[in-house]
Amino acid sequence: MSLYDRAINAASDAAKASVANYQRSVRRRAVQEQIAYQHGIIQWSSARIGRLALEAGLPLPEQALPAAAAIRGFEAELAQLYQQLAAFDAQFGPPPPQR
Amino acid sequence: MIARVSYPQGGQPAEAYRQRQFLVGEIARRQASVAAAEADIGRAVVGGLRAAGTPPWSAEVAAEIERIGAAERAVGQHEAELRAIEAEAAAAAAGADPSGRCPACRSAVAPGQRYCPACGEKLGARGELGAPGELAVPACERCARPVSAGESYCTGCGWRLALSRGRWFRTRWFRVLLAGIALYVFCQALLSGSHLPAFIVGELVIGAGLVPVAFVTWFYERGTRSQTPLGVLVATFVAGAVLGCGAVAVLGSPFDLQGNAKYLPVGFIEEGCKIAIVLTWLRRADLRDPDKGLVIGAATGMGFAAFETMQYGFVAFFTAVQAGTEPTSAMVALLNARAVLAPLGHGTWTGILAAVIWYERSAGRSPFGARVWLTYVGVSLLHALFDIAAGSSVGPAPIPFSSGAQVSIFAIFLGLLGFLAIVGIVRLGRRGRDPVAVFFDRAARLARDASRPQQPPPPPWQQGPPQQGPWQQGPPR
Repeated sequence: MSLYDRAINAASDAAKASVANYQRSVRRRAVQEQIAYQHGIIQWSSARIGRLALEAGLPLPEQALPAAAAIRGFEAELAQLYQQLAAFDAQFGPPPPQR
Repeated sequence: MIARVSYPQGGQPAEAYRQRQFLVGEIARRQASVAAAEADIGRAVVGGLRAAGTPPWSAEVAAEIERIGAAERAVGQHEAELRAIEAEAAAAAAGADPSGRCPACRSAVAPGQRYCPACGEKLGARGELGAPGELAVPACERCARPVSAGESYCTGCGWRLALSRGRWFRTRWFRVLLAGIALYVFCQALLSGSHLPAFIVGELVIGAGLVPVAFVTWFYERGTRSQTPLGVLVATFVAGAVLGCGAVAVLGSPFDLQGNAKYLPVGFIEEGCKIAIVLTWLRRADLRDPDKGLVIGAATGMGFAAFETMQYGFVAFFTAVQAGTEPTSAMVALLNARAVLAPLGHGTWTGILAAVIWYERSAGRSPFGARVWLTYVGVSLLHALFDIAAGSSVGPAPIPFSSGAQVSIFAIFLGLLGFLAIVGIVRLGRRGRDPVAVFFDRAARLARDASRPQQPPPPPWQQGPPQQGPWQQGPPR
């Protein structure tokens, strides 16, 4: 192979490698976004099942008991916070509209 | 005292508004915590149901579990894809070529081979080539039919295979062009240094022949489905140069016309002389493919163009000598301008006319029928217009482009018109269509439509009920 061929090949390989790297990073980002999206679906559906299980009053597995206790605590706090919010709005009027 | 701030609407003071926003934020945080805890419970419940194999207690739960399963499968697939991408990146970083091809000549090599069987390039120097599963199976990109090594066109659909295309800068036509430009520049440097007559001739021959030869090489190599024998191309190129130009010189122009009108017979005579040479190949049985006719036409026209340019360059040189100006620069300017215009001129026009003759013959029609004559008139007129626009002449030659940029742009436009026509012929032919029939049928339809008197459409209340749409016709049988 001549020197000309080698130089042309080297330049071509370098250009191709950078294009391939860019395409690979685009593909990687797209796949990572898809994975995050699917994890979001799993999280949302699990939460929905958890809510349905709590509403149905079913006996929960043991590993779910701490979470159930935490939810009870959060719900008590939420009730207090909603009361404070209602008191605020009663005292100062409605909030300005959100833009 | 609490300062009141002016909101557009509503009357909450600023401090109270901030406290309210804090409360809203706290509520959102608690809600998120509740959702996370519910998700933990949900995961535990789903795990328990799956482990016990018991069905879910409601249809809604079953649907959610199904959705989770689908999402988990998708995540698995995406993670595998991500691993493949990472492996590919690692292989690229290590220098391996996952395409299973020689890095030097791009021909396919089997895994485990340390030297390319085609060019002898040492493959181990760049790392092992791809695994057996990654070796590309050669197949047509259009119809996926497997193709064997050495095939340039798919035997199933006639597609020019990517394997045969290679990189454009590795093609013969590009090498011819590059080497020719290098020789041309070298010759020019020697000529400006020494003024030896040998370099004048060298400059003239290389400058005139460079683009025509590269153009014909491009057609020979890439332009069409079947390769025309090289000997035929060389013979017709030389015949176009010597016999074509000789015939034009002998015939001359029978009309004594002045101004731009003198270019009109020139177009007809030159095209006639070139096509007469092309027609000598018409009876050859192995050249019956219309693609070959097109290539032969292009080669003849390009030979003619090369010889004509040489002649003009010679005349330009001696005219400048007589006028006492710098002869070399006059010659080089003419050669450069005609080199740029060469692919848009003679080769294209003769290629179009030859392609029409060959297509008419292959369609079972007369190769000297009305369509051929119309094409002859068309390309001759295009030729004449191009000559007028470019300012070239068969007489003592002015330098093209000397009459202004507008003229040269028009010449390039006319040349591109012909070039697009020849590209259209090649493409339609590659798709298995008859370009001559396509063009003339469309032209006839346009002429019919134009000649038909235009009637205004009737008003909507006279048009009757609308036609039944396909969605109203029921399902297909």
